[in-house]
Amino acid sequence: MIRVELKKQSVRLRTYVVVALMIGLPILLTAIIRFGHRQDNDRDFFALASQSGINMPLAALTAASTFLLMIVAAVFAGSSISEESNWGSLRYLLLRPISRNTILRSKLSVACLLALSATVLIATSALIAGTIAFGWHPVQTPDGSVFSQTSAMEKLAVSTLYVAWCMAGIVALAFMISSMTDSMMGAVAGAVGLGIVSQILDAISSLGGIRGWLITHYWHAWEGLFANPVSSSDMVNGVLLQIPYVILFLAVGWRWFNRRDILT
Amino acid sequence: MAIQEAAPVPAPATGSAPIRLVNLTKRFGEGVLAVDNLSLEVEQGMVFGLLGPNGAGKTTALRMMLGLIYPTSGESYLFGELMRPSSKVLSRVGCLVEGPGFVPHLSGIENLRLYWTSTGSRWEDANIDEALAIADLGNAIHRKVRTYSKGMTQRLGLAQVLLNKPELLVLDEPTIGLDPGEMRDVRDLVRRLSATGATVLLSSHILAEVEQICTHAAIINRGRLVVTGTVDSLIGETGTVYLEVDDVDRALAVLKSVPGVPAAEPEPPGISIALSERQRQEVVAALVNAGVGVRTVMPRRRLEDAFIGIVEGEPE
Repeated sequence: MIRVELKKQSVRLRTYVVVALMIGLPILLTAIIRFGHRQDNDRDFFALASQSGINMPLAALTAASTFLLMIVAAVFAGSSISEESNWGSLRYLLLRPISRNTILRSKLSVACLLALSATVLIATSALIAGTIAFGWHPVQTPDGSVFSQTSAMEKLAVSTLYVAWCMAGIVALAFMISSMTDSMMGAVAGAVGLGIVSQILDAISSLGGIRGWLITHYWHAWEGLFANPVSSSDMVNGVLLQIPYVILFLAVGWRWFNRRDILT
Repeated sequence: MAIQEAAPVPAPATGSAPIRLVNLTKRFGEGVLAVDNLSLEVEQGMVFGLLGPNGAGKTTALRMMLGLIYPTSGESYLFGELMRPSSKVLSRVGCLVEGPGFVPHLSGIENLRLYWTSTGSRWEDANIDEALAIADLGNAIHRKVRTYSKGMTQRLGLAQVLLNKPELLVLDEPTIGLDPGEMRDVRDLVRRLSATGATVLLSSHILAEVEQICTHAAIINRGRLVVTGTVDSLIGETGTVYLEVDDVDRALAVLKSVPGVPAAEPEPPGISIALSERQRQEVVAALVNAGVGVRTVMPRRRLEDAFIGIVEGEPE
């Protein structure tokens, strides 16, 4: 069933576009930094990207995680059930002796796999493009610390997985809505909407401690790995924070889909 | 018209009829009853027609029967097994419910393959040859379903039904979107499968189709079963005949004098009249003897008469 689902989702224009985007965008960013005007007063990952090839994926992750990856993840998860409902193929899937749980499990697995692949792809593409453009040097970070290539590569791997995991709540929400509706746009918009609202609220400092519960609050916590001293407590919080969201959204989605009258 | 009244089917679970619906009821929200206390039994080998006006609850009943919709109350048994979503018994059933549904960006053959292998079954075990024969798509089977016409998609849907060599076929409007030749192919297919012992439940709004291929039928209206029985019993022994004549008034006058013939209705340029097979000859002879020219004698679509009579005769 997972293979069937993977085949449905992978051999299609949309997935090709996402792959092209995930590979192309870091290359474009690299080219802009390589050939564009340098502005030395900025001290973020972008300004430092030309210092080392390994800086490039860090810049790409910063750029992509707040919006692009969120949309990609929401599209993969949000379309998984609603789209089949819309095509009319969902009822035929359910007219075979396969339990609804198996269908949900396979569809969720494939959506997660695709979202994870997108994140890994963007980091890998940026790493390769960056190394070609700027060479294999130790990494300089915004606060001035320097990490060796080996250490930086380890941190990069952890950061990539962390960024991917941060999408879990969004994926779960998109999946939940997808199990309820035959409108893919509704599912994607719902999940992306939550992500955007959460980021807007997160910018309001007067909200205080509540911000720590926002789904997007710790999305950039991986940057702590590249600070001096290394701080990973926010990352732990970030990993844990996604869990209640995931459990809540998936539980609702599962229950809903199992009790749903299939009318499409 | 000799029609047996819809009698409640006794509840005890007897045998393992391909389809047994017991007091199946579906109420959507607080609204109307889509299906109201529907009991029905379809025995092995029957070609059973499900008839009813649009919105009568046919599709809701089919979906409930197959576990896509949860009944508000009542049960559906397929081959004696109580239907739950995704029941194992579905492996013996082939369904086409409310038109086919395919993944548009995959080819026809790829869609069939994914449909079949989603349960873990091996593609080699599928009834591919027969399925492809009914799909009759030639090389188009390798094209994306998105590019198919309505008829092609419908044929692919029928092909999908055949993949598991079903013992029970549930076909909801199977000839919709097909041209007359393809419709005949579908009728032949149903007859052929029925001859091999398969049971068929067919819903259709084309009454002539039901009349031609079904052995039994049920008429549903406003969610309730109105009548059920053999197609012959639903039609009754008499049928309406339309006679095109050169003088309607004289024809009516002549027919009044023929004993045992019911009153004829004027329908210029002819008359319609309910007649048995034997009476037809008598009436034509009487008209001709009286000097009324008879141009055509045409039986009306008989099930249609029965259907309209039954459905319109229902109290609101």
